[in-house]
Amino acid sequence: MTDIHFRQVIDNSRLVRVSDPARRREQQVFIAVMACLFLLGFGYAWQNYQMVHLGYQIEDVRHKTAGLNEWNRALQLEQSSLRDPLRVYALAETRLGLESARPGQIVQLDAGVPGDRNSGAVMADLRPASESLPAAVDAGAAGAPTPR
Amino acid sequence: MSRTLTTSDPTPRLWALGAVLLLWAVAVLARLFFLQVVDYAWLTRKAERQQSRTIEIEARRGVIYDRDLHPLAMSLMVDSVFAVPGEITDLPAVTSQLAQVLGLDARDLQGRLAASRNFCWVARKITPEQSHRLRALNLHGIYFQPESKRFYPKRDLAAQVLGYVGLDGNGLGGIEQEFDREVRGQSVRTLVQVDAHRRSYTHDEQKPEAGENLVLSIDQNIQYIAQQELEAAMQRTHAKHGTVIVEDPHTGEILALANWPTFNPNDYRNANPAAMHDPAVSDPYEPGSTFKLITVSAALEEKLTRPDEMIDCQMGSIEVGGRRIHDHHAFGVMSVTDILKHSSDVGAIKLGLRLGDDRFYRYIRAFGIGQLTGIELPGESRGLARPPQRWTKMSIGAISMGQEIAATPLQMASVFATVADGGIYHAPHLIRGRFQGDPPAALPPIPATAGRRVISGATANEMKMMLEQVVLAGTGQHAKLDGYTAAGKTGTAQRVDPGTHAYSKHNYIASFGGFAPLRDPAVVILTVVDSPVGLHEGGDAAAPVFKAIAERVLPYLRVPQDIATPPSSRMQMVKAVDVRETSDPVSDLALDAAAPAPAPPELEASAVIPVFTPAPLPRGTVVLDYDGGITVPDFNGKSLRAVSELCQTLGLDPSLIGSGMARSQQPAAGTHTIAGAHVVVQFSR
Repeated sequence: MTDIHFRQVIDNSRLVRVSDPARRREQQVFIAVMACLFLLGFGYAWQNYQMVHLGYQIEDVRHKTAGLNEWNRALQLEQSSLRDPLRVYALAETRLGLESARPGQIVQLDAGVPGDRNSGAVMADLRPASESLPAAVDAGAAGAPTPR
Repeated sequence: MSRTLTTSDPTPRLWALGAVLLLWAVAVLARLFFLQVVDYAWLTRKAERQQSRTIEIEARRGVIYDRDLHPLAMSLMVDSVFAVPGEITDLPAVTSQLAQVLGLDARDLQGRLAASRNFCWVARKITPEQSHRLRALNLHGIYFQPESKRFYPKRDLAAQVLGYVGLDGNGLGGIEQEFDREVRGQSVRTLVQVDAHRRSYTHDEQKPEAGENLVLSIDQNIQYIAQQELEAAMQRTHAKHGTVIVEDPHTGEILALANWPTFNPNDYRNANPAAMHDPAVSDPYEPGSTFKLITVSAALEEKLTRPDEMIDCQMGSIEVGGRRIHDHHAFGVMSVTDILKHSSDVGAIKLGLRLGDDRFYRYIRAFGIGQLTGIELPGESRGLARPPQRWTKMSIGAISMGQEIAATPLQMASVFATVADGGIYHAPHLIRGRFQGDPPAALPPIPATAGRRVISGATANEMKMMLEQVVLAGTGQHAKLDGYTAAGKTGTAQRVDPGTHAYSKHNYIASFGGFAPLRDPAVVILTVVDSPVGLHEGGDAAAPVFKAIAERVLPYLRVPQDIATPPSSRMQMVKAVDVRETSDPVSDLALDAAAPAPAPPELEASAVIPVFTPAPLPRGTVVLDYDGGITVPDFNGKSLRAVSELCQTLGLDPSLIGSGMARSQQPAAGTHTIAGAHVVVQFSR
C-alpha cells in the first residue's frame, strides 16, 4: 500500500510583531515594582525569621552560659564539701593514721610570710637544741622565769 | 473572516464563578473585620497570654565565707516541679510515675492535682537525679521551674551561726536571718516571648541584683576543733547542752561559736528544734564563780584591795541581808589571790560589800552584762542585771559570787576578753567584710577598733597573774596547758529547779573561761556545760574542754610556745602519706555521705617512713623534712586550668577567684612555702 503525503508550506513571514514601546515600558515597570515589592516582602519576612532564629540562638547560648556557670558553682560547692574539716580530719585520722600534733611536737622554725597565716615556715636544718627551739621555750627549760 | 468556534455561551458560568469568588472575598473580609476590629482587644490579650510569659528571675543569694574565704553557705539553681492539671490526660498514671520518682505519696499527690486545674506544685527543689529522671519521662502537663537552693557544704559546722534558709528563700536563723535583706538580693520580673512549644526565644535584658557575700570572722578549722572537743565533752559528761566560744581578745572577733546539740542546716526540716537556736547568745545563765572575775577586778580597780591582802573568810560562812551564806569549803584567812584561786564565795562577798551596790553595778554594766553586745545574730539576750534600786539586801552577796544575775555565754566570753586585752572591752562581732561579686584576693584589713577601757592595764595584769594561779594550783588545774601559759576561772552554778523554784542540788552549769598565752593572749575560750552527770564542777567538766581546744588552736594559729614541754611529748617523726596516692574514690563517697567514717584501711608499711630511723634524735633537736619546700611560682597571665594544674602538681592549696587570666596572687611569686600551703590567685579578663 502506498501512502500519499501532502506537503503544505506555511509561511508566517507575513506576520510581523508590532512594536509597542509604551506597553513594554509598562511591563518593565510592573516587573520592577513587583520585584521590589517581593524583595521588600521577602526582606521583611527574612528579617523576622532571622530575628526569631537568632533569638533562639541567643537563648540557647544564654542557657548554655547559665548552665556552665551553674556547673562551675556546683564544682565549687563540691570542692568546698571535699574540704570539709570533718572529712579531712576523718581521712587523716582513719585512713592515714595521723593525729593532731601536741604542743611539744610543733616547732616554729620561721615567722612565715607576713600577713599570710597559711604559708609560713618552711625549711629546717639540723641545729643544736638551743638554736632550734624558740627562745621562750629554752628559757623555760633552763628554769628561767616564764612570763607571769 | 470570522469563525465561531464555541458551542455554548460561557457567560453564566463566569458569572457564577465571579459570584463565588465575591462571596468568598466577602466572607474573608467579614472574618477579618471581626478578628481585626470587633475581637481585636480580646484576641490581643489572648495572644499575649499565649506568646509571652512573665517569669521571676530569682536573685542569687550571696555566699557566706569563713575568714579565709572558704564557702560555708552557697546557693545553686535546682529544679522545682509543677503541674498544670488541666493538661494532664491520664491523671492516675502520671501521678503514679511522679510519686515513684519523687518518693511522694501517690494518693495525696493525686488529690492535690485533682483539686486544681491551672497550677499545682508537685515538689520543690528536687535533686538533679530526680530532675533528670522526670525529664526523661516527658510527662504532658508537668513543667520545671528553676529555683535557688541553699547548700551548706560543711554540714553542721557553725550551724547555729549560719542559720538556715526556708523553702521560699527566707533566712530563718543565724546570719541568714540577720542579713536576709542584704544576702538575698533583688529579684526581677521579666517578659519572655515563647513559641508554641513554650520555648523562649527572646526576653528583656533585666538582671537580678545578686545578694551580698559575707565574710565571717569564724575560722572553719577552729570551729571544727571547738565542735569536736565539745562533742567529746558532751559524751563524757552526758550533759544536756554545751557551748564553746573562741574569741580574739584584741579585736572581739569570734573565731568559733559551737553549741551542742547541733543540726545539719541542709536538712533543717528533720532537725531537733531545740538544736536550732543559739544558746550562746540567746540563753542567759547564772555564771557562778566565773563572775568573781568582775567582783575582784572592780575591787582592785577601786583600790579597795590588793592581790596579797589577807581576808578572813570566816571558815566558810557569812551573813548578808539577814541570810547566812555558806561557802563550798571552810576557808580561813587567805589572800585575795587565793580567794580567786580556790573560788571562795565568802571572800568574793566581802569584796563585793566593799564595793557597794552602785559602784559594783557600774562595773557590771561596764563589762557588758545586762546589755546587748551587738553581735550580728538574731535573738540576742541582754541577760539579767537589775539596777541597784531593785536589789534586795542580800543581792550584793549573791551577785558577788555570780548568782541573782544572768549573762549569756557571749557576754561572759567578752568579760574574759576584756581582762585578756589589758582591760579594754571590744564588742564581739562575727562579720569581717561584705562584698559584691567575686571575692577580692585579699580582704581589706578591718580597722582596729579602739574598744572601751573598763579597768586599767595594771589591774588587768594583776588579774592575769591571779587567774594563772587558778590554773596552776587552784580549781582550774585541768586547764593547764602543755607548752603554753594560761589563765582562767572555773564556775559551777546551780540551776533553778523549775518545779520548786529553788536552786537544784543535782543540776549544775559548769563553766570555764580562760585565755592563753598569758603575756599576749591569742584566744579567749569560754566553755559552758549544762547539767553534766557525775563530775559537775567547772574544773572537772569544762576546764578540760578549754585545755583540749587551746592545745590544738594555739599551734594552728602559730602562737609560739612560752613554756617548755615535757620531753615525753616531743616529736615522733613520720613522713606524711600523700593522700592522692592512697585515695580511694569509693571510700571518698562514703565519707561524703556524712556516714560514720569508714574503717581505716591498713596502711602499707612503706606509707609511713620515719625520717631518722636509725639514730635517736639529739635531745631537744627537731628536724623537719619538707622535701625541700615549695617555691610559689608566678601565676601571672596563666589560665585558670593551668594554675589549677600547676598547684596540684606542686601540692599547693589554691583558692581561684574570678575568671580569665591570673592577674594577682598571694603569697607573691618566689615565696618559699610548705606543701599544702594556701595560695589565693585572682583572675580577670
